[in-house]
Amino acid sequence: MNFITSDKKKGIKIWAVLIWLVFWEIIARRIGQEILLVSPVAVIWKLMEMAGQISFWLSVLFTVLRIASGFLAAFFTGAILAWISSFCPFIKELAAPLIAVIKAAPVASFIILILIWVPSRNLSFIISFLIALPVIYTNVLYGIENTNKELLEMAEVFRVSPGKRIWYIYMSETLPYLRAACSVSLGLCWKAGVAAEVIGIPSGSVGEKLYEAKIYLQTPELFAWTLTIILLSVWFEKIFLFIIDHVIRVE
Amino acid sequence: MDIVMDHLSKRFGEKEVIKDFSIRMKEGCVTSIMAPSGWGKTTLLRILAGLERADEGRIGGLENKKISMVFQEDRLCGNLSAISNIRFVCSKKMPKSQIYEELKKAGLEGEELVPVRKLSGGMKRRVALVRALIVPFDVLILDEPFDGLDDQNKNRMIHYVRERSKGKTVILVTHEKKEAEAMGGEIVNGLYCI
Repeated sequence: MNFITSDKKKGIKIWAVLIWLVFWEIIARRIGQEILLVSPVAVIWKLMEMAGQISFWLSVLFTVLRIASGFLAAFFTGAILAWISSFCPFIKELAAPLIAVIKAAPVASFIILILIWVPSRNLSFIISFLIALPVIYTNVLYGIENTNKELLEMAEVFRVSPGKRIWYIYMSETLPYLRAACSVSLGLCWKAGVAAEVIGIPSGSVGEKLYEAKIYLQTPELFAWTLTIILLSVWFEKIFLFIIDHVIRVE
Repeated sequence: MDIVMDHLSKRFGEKEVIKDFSIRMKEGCVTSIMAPSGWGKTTLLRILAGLERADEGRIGGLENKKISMVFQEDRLCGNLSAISNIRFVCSKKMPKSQIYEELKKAGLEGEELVPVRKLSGGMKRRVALVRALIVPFDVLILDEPFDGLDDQNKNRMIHYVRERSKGKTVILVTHEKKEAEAMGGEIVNGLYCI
């Protein structure tokens, strides 16, 4: 079975980041041409300059709203579909080819196809939905199907209500898989969502700004927007996982 | 009402695990069943608990009886604390203070909120025992309940089980004669008709 788990111990160390930043700074200075490689200091300055403009925040809001809502839609759809599939083989078999196609098809194909069907404004919503759906569905289904049968037997002997069984056994056993799925798919949503915006160029999006930076060879802007996307992706992941860890607590 | 197992047989595929077994277990008493490994003790208890069906034979005396059980494995939710594992099987009316009190009696004071996966094997066993004894029951089924406990904790838990199951029907399966003797009641050796 194909599922993904995360390992908290493999965290990024600050000293390693600093070494890479110093290395980047040295290379940028050696090259000496901002158009080819901008230095990390220049990127920070550019980002601070951009952050002072209202259009920057409007672009960020545009993209965050679409990617986050696409992910959330996939989160609920994937989890509910997995739950239904766990006790309804017909739905599981029906969903299997669809999930396999979504998983295997190139993102670029989806982007172009969806551009034919819907306005580019909502492209990143649909793409992030399609990217996250198979990961969440597969992981949650795996978690439910691998729920400890011995615990279910124990619950039967102790005459535990179905509601309690779902909350204490299924949720407690599935939550680590759901968490891992969210961690992985959130990063993918940002990558694919912004890529879709670069292709579809919806007006006022981060993707449009990245595209403009490429067209006008504005390398500092390109790096600053990239850094913005990374920060947004990391913060969104942290906030969402915090919610999973602290709000959806099985106690 | 006594629990009666009458000419019970159970097979898994080609293997006959229980063959024509009969026993009468007196109501309100302890019945300890002792037999070597592979005898089918656990299968017998699973049939009593309603988790397996016998291929042949009849069981009487379990109608409308509330069963509680300590399984051969601890069967605890590893991500949950001892308190949560016990609350899982209790009614909502059970006060938390009572669960704390019972865990204290089992020597688990200070470990109540630790995720069970972080507890030692012996601690998990004691949580499983407290869980089985805290719920209201008429029949208590114990499948090698004291395995993995050191002598001190074994004596503590035998005393605890005896105290909490007074006047209830207890069916104990063990391979240790000392445990069976310490629990009192009737000891049945092997698969013999009584």
